[in-house]
Amino acid sequence: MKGWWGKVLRINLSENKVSVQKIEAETLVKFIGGRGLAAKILWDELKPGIDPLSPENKLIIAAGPLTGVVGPSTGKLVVAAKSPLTNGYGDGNIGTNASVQLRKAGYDAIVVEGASKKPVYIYIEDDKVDIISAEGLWGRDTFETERLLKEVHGKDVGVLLIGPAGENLVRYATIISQEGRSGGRPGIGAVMGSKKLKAIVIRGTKEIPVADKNEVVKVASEAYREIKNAPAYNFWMRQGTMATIEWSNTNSVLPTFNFREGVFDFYRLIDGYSMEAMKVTQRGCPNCNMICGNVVIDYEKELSELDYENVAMLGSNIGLGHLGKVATLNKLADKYGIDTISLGNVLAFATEASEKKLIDEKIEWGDFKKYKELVEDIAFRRGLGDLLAEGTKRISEKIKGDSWKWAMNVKGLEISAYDCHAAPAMALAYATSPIGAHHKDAWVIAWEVKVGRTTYTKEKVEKVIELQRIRGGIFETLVACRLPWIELGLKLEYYMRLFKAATGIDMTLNDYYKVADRVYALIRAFWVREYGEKWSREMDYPPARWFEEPLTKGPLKGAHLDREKYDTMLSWYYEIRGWDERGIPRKSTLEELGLSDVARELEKYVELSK
Amino acid sequence: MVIIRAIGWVRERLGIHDVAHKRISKPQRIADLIPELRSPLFNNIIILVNGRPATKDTVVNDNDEILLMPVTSGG
Repeated sequence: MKGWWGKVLRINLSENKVSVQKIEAETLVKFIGGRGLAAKILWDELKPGIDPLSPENKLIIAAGPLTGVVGPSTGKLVVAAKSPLTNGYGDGNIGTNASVQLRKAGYDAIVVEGASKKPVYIYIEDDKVDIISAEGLWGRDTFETERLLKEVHGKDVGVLLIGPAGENLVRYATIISQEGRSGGRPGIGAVMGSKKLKAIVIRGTKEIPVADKNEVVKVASEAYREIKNAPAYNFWMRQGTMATIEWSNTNSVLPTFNFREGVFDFYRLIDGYSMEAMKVTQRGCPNCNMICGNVVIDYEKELSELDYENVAMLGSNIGLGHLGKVATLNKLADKYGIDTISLGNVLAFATEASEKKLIDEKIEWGDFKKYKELVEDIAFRRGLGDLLAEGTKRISEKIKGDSWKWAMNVKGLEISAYDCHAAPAMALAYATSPIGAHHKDAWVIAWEVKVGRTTYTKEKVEKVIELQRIRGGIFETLVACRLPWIELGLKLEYYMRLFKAATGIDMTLNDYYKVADRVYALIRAFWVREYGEKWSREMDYPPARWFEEPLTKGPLKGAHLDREKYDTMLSWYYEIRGWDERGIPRKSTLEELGLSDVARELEKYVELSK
Repeated sequence: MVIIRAIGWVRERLGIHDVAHKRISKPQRIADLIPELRSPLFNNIIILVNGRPATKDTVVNDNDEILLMPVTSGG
């Protein structure tokens, strides 16, 4: 079979064993790769109810059939595990040379099982796999560790690694690569830390098998050309996602003061133009001709790679209107291996808790010095940092009061950088995202601004699902970056053509939507199996703040979500997906998607609707 | 006077600073008021008039405010 190797590399750290497992062609065609493959492995192999930080959890590193193949932004991989932050399915993607090396080494995925007693790292060079002591690396930050590993193994290796946050089991620790590429928001870095695995270093020398090499090159060349000719290309190359700061503020969706507001008085000081003035270089993922990692000199005269999400969450959301200082917090998060989105939420939540006297510590909005201390305390779980390392849901359960209303998360995963007081479709997208609140799957806000903010329509629900199919389905399984499509208008047909050229399989967009629906249903089944009878539609609700506390400033002053209307949208969402009123896939839906085995297993835990 | 605001690449492509003003003597279609918008470059942009969704064919009156924005994804 072309396009895939059909091989998973399994590494058991408890038993120090390495093996290679074949993946059936049928499985690959049904789940494609990346998120699809990861979800399938986790569903099949994890025992429900396990502690995500125990050796029983598995860390999945999964590529897709386009990973490493020449084509727009195909240098990505997915990291996944049962999440220690949400206790549900968790994943994230990272743009990194490790993705290309993984495929060149001859694998579609790596499964890391068990846990080592002592710190180790894994070195993979094609068929040769070594588990090596990482005693000398444990405790070091991700930037220094990657440099050291490259001194030993060469500059061209791909590296995935954790920092002190992952080692200390911070529940929103991520996996890092190339000094700032971060992925696995729901604590996948903590899962890696729980296995005492500091890094995975990969070198591959094989040629990735594709069905029609000439066609791959032809389609890729056309697509690259189309990207370069896009009207927004030059501006994109200057500002990348940082242009969204101005956009969000203009549209009252820029998270400000723990999502109390959607506008920030000092947004100009942290926007794309301020970034341009500080920019020294640009970084990107492999195979990308629209690289978006804008690197600036931070407040401490060091390099920091910025994008919209981390600047909004560590800027306006904590009241910090100084881009150099924001860049420093961002750099520390990358060095320690902490998710910047959850971190910005946690810092804002702690500030509000301090303001409301629910914690003793004095924290004020925009207090850079205090925030910097807290970031370090979180990474090393010192003092208050030990509690803050748990994420907003658990902190709220501990400090009580009405804090659950402004603990800005869904299913435990903190919300990304778009306020939804006046964006019901975006709220639905967050609430139904398969990993908890994340923008990756359905960034519907731009479309919602275009069609009108205040309505709660079925059309909006259909749009959320369409975007989830494309963003969370196609891009997360192929695995490729969505930005050429969403930002610069690259047609989706290019990806279908590339898929065909790589695999020889002719799939229409509708065929692919079915794959996406299958993956979504499987992930939903994973969540339901974990939560059992405790699962309810309330799990698909955004935080109470957006319903109960209207915006107090900006062009949408007074706006808030309507609970009853939101609930109607949620029912439409379930209906379209073929899920019942609890948000559980119907037996007939699972069967139709080729998941009869999943239905049989799920029935052991909850009663399934027909 | 119609107020025209644009952000991001749309502003730069139109050559507008933060805000531009245009005098009109009678109601006018946005595409007539800002002829550059007829270019295919601007096929996929967001247009709001007084905060409400609009298109290039929307007719604007004196004192209306037009906001022109790119579709972005924010990462």
